[in-house]
Amino acid sequence: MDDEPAVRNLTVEILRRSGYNPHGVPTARHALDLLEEEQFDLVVSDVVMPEMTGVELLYELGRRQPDLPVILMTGGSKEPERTTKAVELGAAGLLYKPFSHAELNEIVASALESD
Amino acid sequence: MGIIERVAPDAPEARALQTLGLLTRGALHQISNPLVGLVGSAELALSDTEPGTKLNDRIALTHRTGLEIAEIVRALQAFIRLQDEPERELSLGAAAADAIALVSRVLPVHDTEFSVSGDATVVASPGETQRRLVELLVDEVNRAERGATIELEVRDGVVTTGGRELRL
Repeated sequence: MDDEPAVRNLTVEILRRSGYNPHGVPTARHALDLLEEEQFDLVVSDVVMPEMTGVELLYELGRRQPDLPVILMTGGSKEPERTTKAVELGAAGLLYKPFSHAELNEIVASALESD
Repeated sequence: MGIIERVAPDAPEARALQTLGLLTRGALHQISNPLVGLVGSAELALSDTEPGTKLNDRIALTHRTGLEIAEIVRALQAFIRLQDEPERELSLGAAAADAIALVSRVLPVHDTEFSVSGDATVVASPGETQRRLVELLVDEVNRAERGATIELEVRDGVVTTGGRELRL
């Protein structure tokens, strides 16, 4: 999930071409609603988003679905301390933007393998 | 002595540098999303077009150019993240090599050669160490002739270059 449509759509397209079945949503609220309705193996979320940040989503999912791995994506220069702490507290990975297709696929595969 | 220390902390120059730092931090974040779109879309389009065609060549150029910009952004982001790391034991030789890599990536120093010799282990803040090494290098680059070689020598917690030293 990413509130930037270009990043969201591209991430979905890259993962689709790699054989996954991704759903793109613009906010953490949309993600929580979707996760109530459907079963997912992994969440990939931007950190800096309106209403609810990726870090807040991580904490919320830790309460609701503690076994669901969450990868956080970040521009890397905002909220570095909180993002680093989020990884320490259970994020399955941290992906720094701008990322390549290979980096995205690698971190997704790694998170799914260790799940 | 670094750029910030050369002026009084509350001097207009120091405040301007601090503001510039905040703006740079924000700008890097704002650039990262369009770069994901640019580089990622070019990479997808490369695989959608026939190799050897003009269109494929143009997309490849766009992709390469985007990657070059992305490398600059990533190098600066890594420098910013380093500022938040706590003091720890680190290799001064490796830190000097990292500082050279950052300066070479971000500044127009294509006609300057850099080298590092020696090493030492120090307990220091990684961010502060990197910042002071970068300032030392930038000062040396500004003083050096075109085509010069800038040599950093590391020994006993001291980095020397061009007759000047940085003590950590």
